[in-house]
Amino acid sequence: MKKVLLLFYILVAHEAAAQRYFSKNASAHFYSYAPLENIEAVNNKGVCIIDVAKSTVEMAVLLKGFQFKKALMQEHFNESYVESDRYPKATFKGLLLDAIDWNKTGTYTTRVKGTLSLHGVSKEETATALVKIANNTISATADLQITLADYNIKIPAVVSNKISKTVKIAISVPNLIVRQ
Amino acid sequence: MKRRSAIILVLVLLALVALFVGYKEYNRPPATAAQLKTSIKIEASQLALDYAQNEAAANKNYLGKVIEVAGQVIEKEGLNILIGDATSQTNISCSMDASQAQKLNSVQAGTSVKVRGVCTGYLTDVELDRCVFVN
Repeated sequence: MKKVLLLFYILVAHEAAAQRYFSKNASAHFYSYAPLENIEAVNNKGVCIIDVAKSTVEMAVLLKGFQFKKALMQEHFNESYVESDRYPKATFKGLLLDAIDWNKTGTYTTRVKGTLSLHGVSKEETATALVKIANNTISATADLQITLADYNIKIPAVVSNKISKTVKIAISVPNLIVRQ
Repeated sequence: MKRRSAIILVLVLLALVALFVGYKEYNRPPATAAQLKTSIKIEASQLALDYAQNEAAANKNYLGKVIEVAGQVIEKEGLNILIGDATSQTNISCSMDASQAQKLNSVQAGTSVKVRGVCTGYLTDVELDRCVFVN
């Protein structure tokens, strides 16, 4: 009886641990604080996959999907800064460094380290993430900061007072569900 | 003297108009697809197929363009609707503009729709943004 139970638990635990969690509504919100103006934009259609067995996270956003309040900013962002016609996507592939008990409901803090690919440049970035485990869903938030020059994103001198050299990015994935 | 004041007045008025136009342009919000002219009309299934087969080529044709897509609604969530074929791996994900909220009430899975939006690219589905319904 004990052996059967043990086998059962191993199977169930393996099932839960082998799952991939998926969301098509991950949001990325970036902020640039500068003396003359604060610029921010949000993208709510990001795709995020968390592989629980490998402790990996992958996220992708379409740069043309970032919404700005002002059309001119959106146009400059797409045409001059990230050149979204040439590089339509920004992707992140990383590892969740700190242990998470995926089978136990709760909130966990972890560092995430991985590669961010943006504007044709791939660079290692580290973020801090908060992962909330509920019955069948996972939600997560993460924060990171990037330096625009690292990604060859050139800010003309004319507007250098309006755009900060580093940009904060807040990621929010409210509802990752198990992918079939 | 009168002539000179007239000229100054005209210049001041021109400057004010320029300032006003500049201010409006600076604060212009992004256009919804309703205000943009459609460049491509296509069936949802064809657009999905084009992207699934060759993303780079499809981006050359569709990325950043205003597209009018016809198809069936698979699912609706908030302001987002998925158009295409439930058996297909790739469909068209449309982010409807807030102005379409009322029209969205009469749309559900199975409804045939025509949607105009800006193509922002391809993740797991082809993404259209700032979408409006077309009659």
